Amino acid sequence: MKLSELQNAYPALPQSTRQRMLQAARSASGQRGKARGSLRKGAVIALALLMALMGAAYAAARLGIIEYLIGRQEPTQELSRYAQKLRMRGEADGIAVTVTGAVYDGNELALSYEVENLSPENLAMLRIHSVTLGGQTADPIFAVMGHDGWIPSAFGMQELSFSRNPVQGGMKCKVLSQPLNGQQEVVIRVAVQRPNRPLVVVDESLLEPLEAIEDEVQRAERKAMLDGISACGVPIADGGHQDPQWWHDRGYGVLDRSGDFYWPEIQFEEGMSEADHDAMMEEARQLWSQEVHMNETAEMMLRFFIDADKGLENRKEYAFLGEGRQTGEATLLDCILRLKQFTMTPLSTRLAFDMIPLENTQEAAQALRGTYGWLDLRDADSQELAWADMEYAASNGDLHQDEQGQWLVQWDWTLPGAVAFPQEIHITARAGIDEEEKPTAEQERAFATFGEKMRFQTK
Amino acid sequence: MLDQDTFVQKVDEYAQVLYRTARSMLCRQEDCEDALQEAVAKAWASRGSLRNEAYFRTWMMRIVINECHNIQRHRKRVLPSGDIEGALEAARQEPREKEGRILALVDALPEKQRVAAVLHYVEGLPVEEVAKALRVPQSTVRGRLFQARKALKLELTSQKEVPV
Repeated sequence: MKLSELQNAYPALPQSTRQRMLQAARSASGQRGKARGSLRKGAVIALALLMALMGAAYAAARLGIIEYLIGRQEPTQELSRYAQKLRMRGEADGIAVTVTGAVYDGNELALSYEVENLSPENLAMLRIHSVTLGGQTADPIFAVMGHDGWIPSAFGMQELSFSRNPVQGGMKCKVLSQPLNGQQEVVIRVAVQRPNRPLVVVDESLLEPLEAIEDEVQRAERKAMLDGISACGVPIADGGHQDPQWWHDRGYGVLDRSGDFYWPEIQFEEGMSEADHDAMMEEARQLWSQEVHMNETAEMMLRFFIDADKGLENRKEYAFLGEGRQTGEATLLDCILRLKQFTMTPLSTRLAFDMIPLENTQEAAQALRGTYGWLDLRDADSQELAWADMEYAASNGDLHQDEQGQWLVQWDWTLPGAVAFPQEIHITARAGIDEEEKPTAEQERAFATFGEKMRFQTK
Repeated sequence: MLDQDTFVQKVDEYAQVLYRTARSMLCRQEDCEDALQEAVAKAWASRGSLRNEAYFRTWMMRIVINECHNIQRHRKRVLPSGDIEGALEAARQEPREKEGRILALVDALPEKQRVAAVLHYVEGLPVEEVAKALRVPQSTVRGRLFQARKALKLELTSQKEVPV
């Protein structure tokens, strides 16, 4: 199949859909109620998705912490209490890495850094080998090195590379341990890698003249891509040989327009299972370690201490407002709700509770899953909370029978950090996780009780 | 903050990529329209959190993706995850026009590969932006693209044609 065939076959935007989107945009921005009113029932229920983070922006989210740490963005009041400015510099094989900031909240660790290629004429790539905090593994959730330029990279690898000099970036890690206290050492091991053969970009789409791209945004993106490639000093194959294999056979490391290496040695098959894919990825890693395209020329270890208490001290913990404040329990219409954890930080929000049915049967526990599960978090003024991320974690709602034979439903949400921490939070329920129909009158009563009892205040 | 005119203009500007994002996750046209309409409403409501208009497309795609997940969850939709090879073969055998066969092949891909392939190969979005929209590492996107490419026998630069 040719790329053009795929592009032609995939459905274009129907005019009627476009009109409906524009109508929604106009209605939402002018007369919001009309847009909502025209939704089909299914969509209205979906709209009420529990904890769907309507007020979140991806850019503000993923980059928000990092952008603040590298000084591009004003910090929120909450974040400024957590962040620690650092200046820890390491250097190896002509590459300098400076860690500039850290945020640790007991669950996650965010770091920002600046990287400089001291001999910019020599292309280099960085690869994070490991991160630990207090000797505990910190798994990178994501890492970025700038976000607006072309970077050469390698298929399937968790590497970083850079085309600007110096560049700023950051990473966010999940710390696989209980919250740590006091001064804790962060150790980052980073490998410096350099190409061991000449590189070339083979991608005929890049040969299209910029002037021929009508869309202004696409033209700007293409220009940024070309500038990035140029900044790296990697030539683009022009005309003639557009077959990556031709260049590969002649000893070149071949990249596509995304900076993705051409790996003819790796053959994915149709319908390959996830396990087979993982095995193939492992093969790719082995090929990488055999230094087909890049040599690891040095390893750098950055060690520094952060004050783990700084985050923990500022972590907001919430408790029931009213009768359940001491016991951590609330009596609802159909169950006892036992709060296990409700905390907020700029990096993450954790809400965990058990629901214990009044009648100790599996069916009663199952019924609770059918009633609850789609929740909204609001402040005392009924405003939805603003999140620092678009991502949300669905609840699990696991059925469980404890050692005493008690059936219960366990809910455990890990949500993004909140932009601000209100003194008071109200949680309302809309529907069960599998519900498709309008709630019954009995469920509506259960929701009303839930809303009355699920009011929290900072401890 | 985005004003009304700019918002409507940007929705119009990116309507195609937003539609194809939804289409790659939801097969039913009416589901796509519901997702897009709801995403637009949510985007306007939360426009204050979009601090840099340059990120509008990625930000909006992310909202659409979340909305598609909502609908999938609501519909309890069964995604092709088991016999992918069988699904691909069945798509090849179906007596229909070439474009229809290609679309059936794409639809037979696992969702993660399909979304990445549509955004990168059909819409031409850079891997970096696809990764941001899907909130996965770039290397993961590349892995999905590689799998999709192989499954579709997609040729990016060679002139040799492979029958579908």
